[in-house]
Amino acid sequence: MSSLPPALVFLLGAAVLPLLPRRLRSGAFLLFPLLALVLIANLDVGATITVPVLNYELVPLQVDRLSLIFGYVFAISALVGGIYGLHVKNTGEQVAALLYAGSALGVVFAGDLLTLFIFWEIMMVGSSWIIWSRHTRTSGQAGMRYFMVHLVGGLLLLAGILLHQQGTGSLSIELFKGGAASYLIIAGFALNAAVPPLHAWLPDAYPEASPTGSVFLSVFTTKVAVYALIRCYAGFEPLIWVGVAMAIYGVVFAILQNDIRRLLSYSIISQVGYMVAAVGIGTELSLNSASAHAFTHILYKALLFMGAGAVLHVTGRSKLTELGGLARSMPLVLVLYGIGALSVSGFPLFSGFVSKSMVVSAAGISNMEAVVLLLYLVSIGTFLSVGLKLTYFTWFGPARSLEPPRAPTGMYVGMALAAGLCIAIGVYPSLLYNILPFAVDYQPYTAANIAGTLQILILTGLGFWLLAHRLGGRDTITLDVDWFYRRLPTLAYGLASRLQIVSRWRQLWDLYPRMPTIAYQHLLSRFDRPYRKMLPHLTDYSRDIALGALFVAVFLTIVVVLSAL
Amino acid sequence: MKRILIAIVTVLVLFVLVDFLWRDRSNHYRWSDIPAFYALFGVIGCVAIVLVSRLLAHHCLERDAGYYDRKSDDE
Repeated sequence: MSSLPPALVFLLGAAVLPLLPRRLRSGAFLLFPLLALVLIANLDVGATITVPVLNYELVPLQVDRLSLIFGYVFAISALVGGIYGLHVKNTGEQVAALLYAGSALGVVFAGDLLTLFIFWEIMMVGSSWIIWSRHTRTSGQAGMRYFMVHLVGGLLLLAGILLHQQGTGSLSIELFKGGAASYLIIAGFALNAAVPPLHAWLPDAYPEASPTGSVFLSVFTTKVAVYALIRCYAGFEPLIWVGVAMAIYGVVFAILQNDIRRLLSYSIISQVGYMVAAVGIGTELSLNSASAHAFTHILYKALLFMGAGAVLHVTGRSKLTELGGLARSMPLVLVLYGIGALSVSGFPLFSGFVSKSMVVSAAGISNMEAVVLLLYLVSIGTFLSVGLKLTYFTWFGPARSLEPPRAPTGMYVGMALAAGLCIAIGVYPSLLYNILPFAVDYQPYTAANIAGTLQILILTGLGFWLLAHRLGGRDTITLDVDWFYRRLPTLAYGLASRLQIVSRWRQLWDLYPRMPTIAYQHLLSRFDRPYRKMLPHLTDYSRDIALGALFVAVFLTIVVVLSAL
Repeated sequence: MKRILIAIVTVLVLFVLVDFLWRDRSNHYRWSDIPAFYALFGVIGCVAIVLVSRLLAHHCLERDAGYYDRKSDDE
C-alpha cells in the first residue's frame, strides 16, 4: 500500500458521513479509524510526501517512530470512542469527532510548521464543535469560551511560526532554541497542553460535552501538544519544573471537585504534567517515557471518561453529591472504571505503572531527586482523587436510591476494549516498549519498584479510610484562572454601571455582542440540509462572544507589539 | 473489617521487608537506606495533600455551585 496521510481518511469521513442514511452513520463511523489504523500500520519510517504550494514545500506526511506511536494511539482511541458512541444519533458530534481525530493525526504526521498549524486550527474547530454538539446552554457557553481561548493559542503559534520563518527562512519542524519566535511557539503549545495558567479552558469545557464527546476531547488536544513539545522542545529545562508544578496543581484541584468529569479533567492536567516534565529532562529514556505515558494515559483516561460518561448517560447526574450506591445497579461499569482507576494510580500489572515508573526513573537517573519525590506525591493524590474519592462516592457511599436503566451495549464494548489494552500493556510492557521512539533498556517490574509503589498506595488507601469525611463531595465549585474572563468583566461592568460611567456605552454594549450571532444565523440559513442541522446553533452566547472577542483583540495587540519589538 | 485491616497491614509489612532486602542498585536515592521510607512517605503525603487542598478550598477557592450564573448585582 502506498503511503497516504492518515488524516485524509478522517477528513474524507467527515465529508461523507452526513450523506449516508441516518441509521448507518454511527456504524460507518468505525470504518474511518479502522482504515486509518491499517494505513498507519503500513507506513514506513522515513516516508514523506511533499506538495509544492507557491514558494513553499508543504509536507503533509513525514513518518518516524515518534509520529507512529502517537498515530497508533490516536487511531485506536478514535475507534474505541466510536464503538462507545454507537448509540449516538448526533451527526454534528460525529462529524466533529472525525474532523478532530483526523486533524490530530494531521499534526502528528506533519513535516513542516505550516501544515502543523493548519491541522492545529482544524483541531480547534473540531473540538469546539464537539462541545457545542451537546446543545445545552452551558455547553454552548463553555464551548464559546473554549473556542476563544484556543483562538488566542492559535494566534500565538501563528505569530511564532511567521517570526521564525522571517528569521531563518525555514518552515521545518526542529528543536527550537531561544528567541522571541521560539517563546511564542512554546506558548501556543503550552496552551494546548493545558499548562497553568493557560489551562482553565480544559476543566471548564470538557465536562460540558456529551458523554461520548468528552471521551474524544480527553484524548487529543493535550497529547498532540505533548507530541509537539517532544518534537520541538526536548531538553528545554524549564519544562521540568513546569511539568512538576502542573502535576501537583492538577491533583490538588482534582481532589476538590464535585463533578466527576471535572475531577477527571483536572487529573488530565496532572498526568500531562508527568509528560511535560519528562520532555524537559530530554534524555532518550525520558523522551521514551513521555511517549509511553502519553500512550497509556490516552487509553486509561478515555476509559475513565467512558465510565463517568456511562454514569451520566443512565442517571443524568454527574455530581458526587447526587450520586452514590451505584455498585448494585452498575457493577460492570464499576469494574471497568476500576481498571482505568488502577491504571492511572500506577498499580503494578496495569498500564499506568509501566509508563509512570519510567518517567520517575528517568528523573532519578538524571539525579533529580526532588522531582522523583514530588512525582511520588502526585501519585498519592491521583489515587486519592480518581481511584478512591470518585469510585467510593459514585458506586459506594450513601445510596441515593437510583434505579438507572442499563447502559447501551456499545458503551460496554468500548470500555472493555480500552480496559483490555490497559491490562495487556501492564502485563506485557514490551507491547508498548517495542514501539517507543528509542530503543528501550528499562525494566519496571523490579522488587524494589513494586514494593515501594505498593507501600505508598496501600497507605494512601488507609489514609482515605481515615480522612473520607473530609473528602466527601460538596455541592460547590472551585475558582480557577477562568475567573478572569468569566467573572471579572461582569464585576467590572457592574461597578461601572453603579458609578454611572457606563450609561452612554450601554447601547453599544447591548448591540455589539449581538452582531456576530446575527451574522452567524444569516450564514447558517444559507446552508442546505443535511449540513444545516448539524451545525451548532449559537443564539444565546452573545455575551461570551463579545468578551472573547475583546480578549482576542487584547492578546492580538500584545502579540503584534511583541513581534514588532 | 478487622480481618481486612490485619491482612492489609501484613501485606504492608511484607512489602517493607522486600523493599529493605532487595534494594534497587540501579536507582539509588538518598532515602534508599531508610527502612519503610515509602510507607512513611505515603502517610505524610496523603495527609498533607488532603489538608492543604481543603485549606486552599476553604480559604480562597470554594464558591457555591451557582457562582458563575449570578449577575454582578447579587454580590
